[in-house]
Amino acid sequence: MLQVKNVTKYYPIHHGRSQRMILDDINLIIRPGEHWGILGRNGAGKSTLVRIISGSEAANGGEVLRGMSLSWPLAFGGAFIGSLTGKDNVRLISRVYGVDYANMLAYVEDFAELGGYLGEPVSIYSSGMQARLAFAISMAIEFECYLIDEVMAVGDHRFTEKCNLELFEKRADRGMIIISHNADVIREHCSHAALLEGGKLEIVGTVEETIGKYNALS
Amino acid sequence: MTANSLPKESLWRQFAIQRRVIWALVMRETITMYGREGLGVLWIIAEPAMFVIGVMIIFSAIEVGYINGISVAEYMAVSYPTLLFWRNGTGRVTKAIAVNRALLHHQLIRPMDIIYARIILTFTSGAAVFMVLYPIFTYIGITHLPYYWYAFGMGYLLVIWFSFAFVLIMAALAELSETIEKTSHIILYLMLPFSGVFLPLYLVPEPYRHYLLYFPLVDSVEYFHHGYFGSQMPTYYHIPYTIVALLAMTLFGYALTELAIKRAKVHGGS
Repeated sequence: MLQVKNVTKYYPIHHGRSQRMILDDINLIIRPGEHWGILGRNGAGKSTLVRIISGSEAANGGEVLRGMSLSWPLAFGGAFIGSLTGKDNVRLISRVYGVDYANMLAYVEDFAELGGYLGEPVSIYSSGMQARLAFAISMAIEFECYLIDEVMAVGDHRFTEKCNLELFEKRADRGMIIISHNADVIREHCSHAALLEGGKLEIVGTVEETIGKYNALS
Repeated sequence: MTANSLPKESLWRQFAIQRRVIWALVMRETITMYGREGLGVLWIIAEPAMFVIGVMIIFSAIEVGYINGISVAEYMAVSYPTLLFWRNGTGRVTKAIAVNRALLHHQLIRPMDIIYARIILTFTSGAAVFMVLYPIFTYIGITHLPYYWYAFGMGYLLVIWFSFAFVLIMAALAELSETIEKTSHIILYLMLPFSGVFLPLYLVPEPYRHYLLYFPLVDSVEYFHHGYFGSQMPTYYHIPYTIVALLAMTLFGYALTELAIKRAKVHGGS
């Protein structure tokens, strides 16, 4: 189980003379196998919430209890070092998570379809290629819960299909937190939904009811 | 390929994970800093070696030498490499978390691991260059073997210990205060006369010699000098005081680093 407990976050504005509240007492429980969709408009604090759940940023109040192994934000390419090659990035992740490098490399080679580019620095990759590498590396480690920040507009249609198969079908039994401003994505993949608006996380009812309320916002 | 979940693990397993993560980060930093082109990883030694040799040559030209016929080249070959630890270490660790904060999305990587990785890498570089140059200089006759191996080794370890605590304190202060971050290279430069290297204590008159002994780096370097030069050079140190001072510095460094990490994490940014 993963529990977000009374999480509060604000950022200083006007050089610290006042504060802007981003997340105001957020509570959420994700049980194994539940797929949670979190809908929010631009600027609602979705990315902040992702960073706090993943632990890369600390909240001002409250805590996140991680009783399941949790992935980094999926297809997140920010952790890559541009001057490193694709292979070096694979090596880093394999060492950090203690998995066999050769197996992981074989998987990434097969999945990302980057061919010889895997031996080149990531900085020369196109954005599509970077996203493919990021997704392949993400899928090479198994987690009990996946954190998904804005669903992958990864590569072309065929590659998106492949990602959907890998994530939503093969790993349908895992927990998922999908954070998006796109209601269709939430409708398609989620069993539960919540609405992030005005710093509050609201759990309205069914996924459809949440989407209805979200659409009525604008 | 299953990720190890973190909580409810034994202390021993936590320790094993942390060791693995630090190792992964050290290997990554090695490649990002030195690359695979040209000399590649050999830069770990080549870069500081150029520094040390350059200093030996330049100071030989402008200084006249030390007591009992110790040449400037010999003195610098032995003493100068102690600077590499605290000076390069501070440069490398400052802002390490801000630069690497995206790595914190990985549950297993803790901010302290990033700091340890950078310290290990710079200290390895500093120690490696000495272990390569010193035997060579001894072989060609610029330096000789130490008079007292024990003091030589312990003095060197004390310098490393000082540098570790110093780097933690400086990096944390730089995170906590923008002023210190901006002036950190000035502090490092102005510290040179008090580093034990450029002003061996036998050249310093009392009562200033006495004051300088309160700074544990000076004691450590002097003890190291004592190990190398033996009776060739008068040296001054107070080892029990140094150990207590370094312990205090280390605890202070950890506390400050803890605070700085907390602040860096709350401050955020992607």
